[in-house]
Amino acid sequence: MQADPYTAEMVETDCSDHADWRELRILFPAQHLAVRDALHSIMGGLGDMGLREADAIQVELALAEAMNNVCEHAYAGDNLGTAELRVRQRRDRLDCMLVDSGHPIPAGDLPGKGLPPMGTDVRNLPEGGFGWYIIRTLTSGLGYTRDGPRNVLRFSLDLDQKMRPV
Amino acid sequence: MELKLEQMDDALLVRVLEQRLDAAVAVQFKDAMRDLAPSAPPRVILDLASVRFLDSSGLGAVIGAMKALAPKRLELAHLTPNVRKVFELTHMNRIFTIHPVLPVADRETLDHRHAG
Repeated sequence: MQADPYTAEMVETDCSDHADWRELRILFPAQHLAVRDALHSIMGGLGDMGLREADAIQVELALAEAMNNVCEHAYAGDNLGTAELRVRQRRDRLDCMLVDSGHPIPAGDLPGKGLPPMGTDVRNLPEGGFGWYIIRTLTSGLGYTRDGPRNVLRFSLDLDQKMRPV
Repeated sequence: MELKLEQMDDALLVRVLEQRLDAAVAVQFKDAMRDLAPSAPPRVILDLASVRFLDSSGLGAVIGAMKALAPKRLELAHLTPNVRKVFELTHMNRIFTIHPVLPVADRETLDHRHAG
């Protein structure tokens, strides 16, 4: 499926052979404004599926950080491309998978195990290095694999309040 | 990026009239704050009442604005619950002075109350 470069498209997968889950998929151009549109669509879809307000912020924040990472690193510079987000509803969590065809994440552990050093005064406070920390803090089961030409990032978002049953 | 500037008694109030302070506008925001830094008074208050979503890029831009203004002070006011959550997650709530309400009398509001 080819994405229009300026809009995001979303399909709700028919999971009739998997009675206990359903999935939203969205294909989006890896640009920050397109991430906004994609998030708007996916959060709307999840809202329709019963995602509660109290859980929505951590979901939107974690997804935004992961999707913006793809824009900034996987497709850094002129290397434009699309990415696909899949969000699968489980009883008390969302299983997420984010796939792109950009530059691989450097080998080794994913970043963000701690907050960036705070420095000694205002002038050397960190302005970056928070994104992966936020992802790690809000998610469980975070894992990254390089699958041929593709980056595959998986994580789960645990929900305090159950969504509507499938 | 829409910012509204209001001169208060002892501070410049900068209202961010955007619903999202995110990766899409972080650079614009930081540039705008850097532009106003030289002529700003010693105290600047950033009113984030309209901002309903802030990500790590937006947070980085707010920190960048604080650094651009130093040694002038940047304080924050009116954080919505979602924005406050990001400051708490990253412990930046310990770095910034955060006001639940505007810390100095808002002249416009006072005038309105007197008129009523």
